[in-house]
Amino acid sequence: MQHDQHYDMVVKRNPNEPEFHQAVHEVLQSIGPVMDRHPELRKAKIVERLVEAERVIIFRVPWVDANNEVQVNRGYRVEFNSAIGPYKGGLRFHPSVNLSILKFLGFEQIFKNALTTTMIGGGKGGSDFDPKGKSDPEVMNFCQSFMTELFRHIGPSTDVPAGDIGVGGREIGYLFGQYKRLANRFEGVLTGKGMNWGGSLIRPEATGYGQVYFAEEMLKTRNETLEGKVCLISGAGNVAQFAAEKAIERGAKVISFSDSSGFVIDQGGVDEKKLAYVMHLKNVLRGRIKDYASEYPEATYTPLDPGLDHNPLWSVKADIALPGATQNEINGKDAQNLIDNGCFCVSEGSNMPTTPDAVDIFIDNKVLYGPAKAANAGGVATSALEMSQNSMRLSWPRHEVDKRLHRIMVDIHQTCQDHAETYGSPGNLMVGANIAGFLKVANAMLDQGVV
Amino acid sequence: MTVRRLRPFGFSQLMPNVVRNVLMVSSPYDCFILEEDGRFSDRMLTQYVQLDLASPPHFEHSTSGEAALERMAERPFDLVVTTHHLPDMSSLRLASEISAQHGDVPLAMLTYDRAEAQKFAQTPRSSGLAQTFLWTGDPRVLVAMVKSIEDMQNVQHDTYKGRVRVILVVEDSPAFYSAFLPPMYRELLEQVELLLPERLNERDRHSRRRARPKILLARNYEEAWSVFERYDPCLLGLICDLRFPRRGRLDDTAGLDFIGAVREEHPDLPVLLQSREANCAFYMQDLNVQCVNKNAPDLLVQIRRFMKRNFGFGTFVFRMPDGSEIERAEDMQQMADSLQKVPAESLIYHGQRNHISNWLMARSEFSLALEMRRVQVEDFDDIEELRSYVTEVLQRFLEMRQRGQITEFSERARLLERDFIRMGIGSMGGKARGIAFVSRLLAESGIHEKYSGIRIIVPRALVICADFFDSFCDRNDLLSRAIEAESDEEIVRLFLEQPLDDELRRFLRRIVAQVPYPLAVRSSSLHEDSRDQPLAGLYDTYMLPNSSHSQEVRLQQLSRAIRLVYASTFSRDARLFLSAHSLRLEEEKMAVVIQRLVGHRFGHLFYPDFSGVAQSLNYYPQRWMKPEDGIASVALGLGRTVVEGGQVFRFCPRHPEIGLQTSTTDQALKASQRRFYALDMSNPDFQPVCDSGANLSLCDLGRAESDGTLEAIGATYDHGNDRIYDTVYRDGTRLVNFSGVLQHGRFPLSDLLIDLLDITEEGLGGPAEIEFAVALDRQGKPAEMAVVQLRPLMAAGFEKPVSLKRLSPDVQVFLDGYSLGNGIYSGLRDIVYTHPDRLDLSRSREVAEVVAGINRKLCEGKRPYLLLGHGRWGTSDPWLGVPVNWSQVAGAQVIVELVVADSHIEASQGSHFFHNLTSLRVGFLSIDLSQPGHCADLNWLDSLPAREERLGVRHVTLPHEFEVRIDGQSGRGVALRPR
Repeated sequence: MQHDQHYDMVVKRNPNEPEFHQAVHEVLQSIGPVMDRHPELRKAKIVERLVEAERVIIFRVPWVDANNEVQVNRGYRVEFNSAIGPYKGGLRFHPSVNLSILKFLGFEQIFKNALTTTMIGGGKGGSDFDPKGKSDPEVMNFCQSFMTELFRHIGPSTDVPAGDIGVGGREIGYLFGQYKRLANRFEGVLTGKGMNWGGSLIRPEATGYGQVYFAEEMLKTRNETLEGKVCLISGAGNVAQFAAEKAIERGAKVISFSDSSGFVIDQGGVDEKKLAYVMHLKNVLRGRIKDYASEYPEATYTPLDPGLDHNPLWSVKADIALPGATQNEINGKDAQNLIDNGCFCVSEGSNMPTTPDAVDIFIDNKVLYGPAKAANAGGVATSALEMSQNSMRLSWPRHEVDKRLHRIMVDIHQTCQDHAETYGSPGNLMVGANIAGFLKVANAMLDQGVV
Repeated sequence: MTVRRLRPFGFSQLMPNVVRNVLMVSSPYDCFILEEDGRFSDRMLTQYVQLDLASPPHFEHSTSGEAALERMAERPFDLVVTTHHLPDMSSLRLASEISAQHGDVPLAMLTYDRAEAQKFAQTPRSSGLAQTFLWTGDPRVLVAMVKSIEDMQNVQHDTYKGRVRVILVVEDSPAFYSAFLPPMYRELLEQVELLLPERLNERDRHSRRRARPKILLARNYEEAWSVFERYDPCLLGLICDLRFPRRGRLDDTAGLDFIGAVREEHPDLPVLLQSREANCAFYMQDLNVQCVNKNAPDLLVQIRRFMKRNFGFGTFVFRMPDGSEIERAEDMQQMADSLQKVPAESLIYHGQRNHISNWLMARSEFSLALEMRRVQVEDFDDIEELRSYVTEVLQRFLEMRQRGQITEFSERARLLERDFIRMGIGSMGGKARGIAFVSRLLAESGIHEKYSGIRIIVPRALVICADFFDSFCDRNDLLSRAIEAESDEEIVRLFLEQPLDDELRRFLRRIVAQVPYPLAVRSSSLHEDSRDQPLAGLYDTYMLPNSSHSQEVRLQQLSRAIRLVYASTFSRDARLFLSAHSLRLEEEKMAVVIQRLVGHRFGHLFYPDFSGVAQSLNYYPQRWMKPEDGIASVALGLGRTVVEGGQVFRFCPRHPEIGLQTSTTDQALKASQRRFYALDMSNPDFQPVCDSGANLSLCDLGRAESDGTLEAIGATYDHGNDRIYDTVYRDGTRLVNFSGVLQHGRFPLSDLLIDLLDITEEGLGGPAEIEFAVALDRQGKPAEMAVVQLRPLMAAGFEKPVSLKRLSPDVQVFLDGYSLGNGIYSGLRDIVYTHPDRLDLSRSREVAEVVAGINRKLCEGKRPYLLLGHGRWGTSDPWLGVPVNWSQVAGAQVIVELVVADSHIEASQGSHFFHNLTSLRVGFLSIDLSQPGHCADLNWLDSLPAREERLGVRHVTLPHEFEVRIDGQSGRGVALRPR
């Protein structure tokens, strides 16, 4: 009832923002049991305050294109919640960007960031600027104009944007340069910076490593380790490659990779040399994973069969599944196939790889299930580590960043586990993750009074 | 009967109208083709000397209608030939101006475009336009055109004065008459030449040639009837289409009715009925005609054979009334000898049918022929009296017979001192023509002075003209054997079994003895790279290292490569293509270009720094690019990557600042070339095989980096910083983004391409496409910018706008998207499509075969279809789409691509596939379902029963016809469900 009221209020106050409505709806659903147990949160109108962004900045971004024509875009920064730290969230440059989408992303970011156990709030920003077809100087012109307004709203202790779609290393560089010029300060106001001017190591590796660390923590609850475990990895991109690297390092036997065309199974296990080949194949040659089977005849390649209602990759006998390809890649049938073939641990590297019915099957069958919002938080965590290094004016070596990433993943797992148990769903890390993220923010807001 | 003394005929009075001065009104390119290709002037000279006793026509050229009229005011011309597209006025306006100002000067039109030719073919002659011909790349069309005009002008006089015979041709399709009039004239010419009496002096011989039969072309029933009425007594034969216009409408039975009417007057007139209908033989008996299928691959041979047998040109075959052969007469002497001994029945049989008279007519022995016709069997008391009469008459002519021959010799040249050398007297083909033309354009342009330090060249080329191909095929009977061959492998075997002509081998021996560099052996067929029938990429090109120590091995390599190019003329793909586009295989002739390969040697590899294709017209301009700013596609290494639609770098030479592929890191990573082609020099004794890529290496960028060729065009992706740096001196993943050349001044590629496209476009008088290769300065040699090919680029014809705004509200659209082309494509019932959800790109090569199989069936059934699929059609990268080659989809009238995320259709713009798509006016839609308004109703297609379904490819046939409308102005196209 309360949930419906909140939702109706959000819809009424934020008309024409369907994406944002959807995000609120999902969060409200997941925190129902918490609100029932915490009347003080209701009293403090935490939900009502949470769904209202602390500040939304919309601004004009005029710039001159290479044809000497004046162009005008719209810039946004949604500073959603700073209860546990400075606003943190990516900047997206894409023609589809509008307020609704940024509020939806910013709202989700609050809980995702909170779950990392680091001190970062939630925000999101961007512009309807389309980098496609633009030249390098034009992108620079745009970034400088964008930052010329944004710079007065951000700061290392206020709001620390990062990259997102359309904003990569080049754009972060141009944005940072303009910020520094205007503010006359070199400080950690953006993450994703270049390695020799404030960026952090381990960034490309973070999500994959984190995914494996999370799996490791789940295994520990059953006194198991990765040593000797057979792992199915889907995908062959960044996440999958580094998940494989870490899993191999920890003694697991990685037997698969996949891409949009199909998957390979190498029952002999992927070793470092084979992994190096995969990295070369995908990062340098941009080839297909099928070529792995040509290079290593002991491996078998199975093309994707769009006519099937399941993915045969998940029918291969294994102990652990590390999905790292795309969303909805494991459906109910796949989940059952995994279980039937001995899989007892699933740690998600890609965003929402498992359909809701498959999640239920995992949980009903006591599979160790690490939901994406917790298991793939390594990327966000490393951004927080970049902020820390900037504040300390230090650049940690690889092992130091890795060690801290590991620590964060251990903490995330512990937090999820604790909250799952406390709120009546022991072992259900999905519930634990939803509640832990929310409660961390809610309690901070409670502590800080009506602000 | 007393033997009449026949007076010699005054041949010199014949042909009062001879075309001596021709005014060409056309772009410089067209003029170049007419004057240079196939040594047109020489050919005209030879043929004129043989035929007319008159000087060969002198050609003058005007580049606009106004200029032409001014020139005509200054001096007289006998004929004006115009192309359709003049810069300042339409060809019809020019015709009416000429008609008004110089009423007696005929104007003929030459056009590249079938549709245009068809449109103008029925233009009344009263408009001033005497004749419309389709330019097929064969300069003999011009000879036929001139002769046809002369025949029109002289027929009345010559039939009256000299009873010259008339062959009536009734045909409304310029494509057909442009194809068969040249061989008909050739046949006339050759036969007349063969039949000329030997001991005549030169002047008499020339006089005799004037008496050859006239060929009159009628384009509709009314014209045919008019010719028949006027020249009925002189009619030698009739070649008649089955279907042609009557009273302004296409009439399915016009041919039958006309032949019927003619038959009433001439029961024995030789008549050849041409029809597209396979069962035209049905009429044979009823009308006493011979039939030929217009789609027959050997149509021209059949026509020539018909002329030879029925117009009295060939050997006279004496037959008995039951058709059995009893005697042959090759010449007048044998005729006289035979007449003395053939049985009486045979003599009566031929006498009653005027066969002997016709035979004599064909030999310009009019007096004799007329005498033979005048005397009737009934005039004699008995058959022996007849026999003795005609024999005696014939004896009077026996001292006049012989035949003459002209042989051409090739000039001995020092090959390394000449940029363009041709061997033979036939056509050079489209590719060589383009090379020769661009070579001249560059020489005249002064571009060399503008770019000091860069050699702007057309690589040295040697052309083996198509007459060698003809003689090679004829000598070994390869045309019919190749047509009968069951596989490409068999065709290749047939061609490789036969040695080249000795003369050609001597020439090749000189090449390998003198030329020290790697060679590209390229096809240059008549159709290839012409505007209307491009056939780009249909035939093979072979690269040869030419580095063996043994001259004999190098000779074998070259000889094999030439024969492989010859063999590719008859490949299954080529034949399918020709048949799908109503082109006859026997019309296609293959010349070969042997060209220096541009590049440097790097260890065991040889390749240019980069190669590309630049077009002066961009079909997909973005941002502030205009279509006329052009577009270029470039790739590291040999140009195979570009023309096969591989991963290349695209940019607009006038706006290199617009990052078409490099605006985002992700895009740059996805779009970057990762592999390149180079010629493998490691096996100098390698003998070319059917697969032209067998001695090419596909190398990765690491190889280019170590060769130093990546430095100017490469970049590095730094994984840790998620950033691309325009250098190869950083750690990370190497990419190709041409920043060194386009952004950092390493080589003035954009400026060069702008200039080259301007020069070639001006020269062609329309959009141009060039293929080029660049070897940067290294190993002490200056940089080379080599234009390796030039071809006209088809501009989208927007003559008749198609608006989509007035679509009836009850019309249901099932496809809607961006489009290319303009027009309404109707009469379609078949759709072949791949569904994105069911297409397995890992098996796309097999999918291509399935599509090809369906295409074959539809082509055979003459069912044009719509082809729809996920990704890029015609790509060489099987992961980007279905890698069909052009012939595998040759029957598709509309091609639709469903754009996949992050890919874009213009990526294929430099490819041969794309060139063919635009040139053949195939409708093209690109549907991006993420775009507003775009749609593809695949559910509806799925709901239709499949005729065939395999590997995700579905073929459905709709119960009723549907149509596709493409609005060239808005660039939108829709497919409409049948009502």
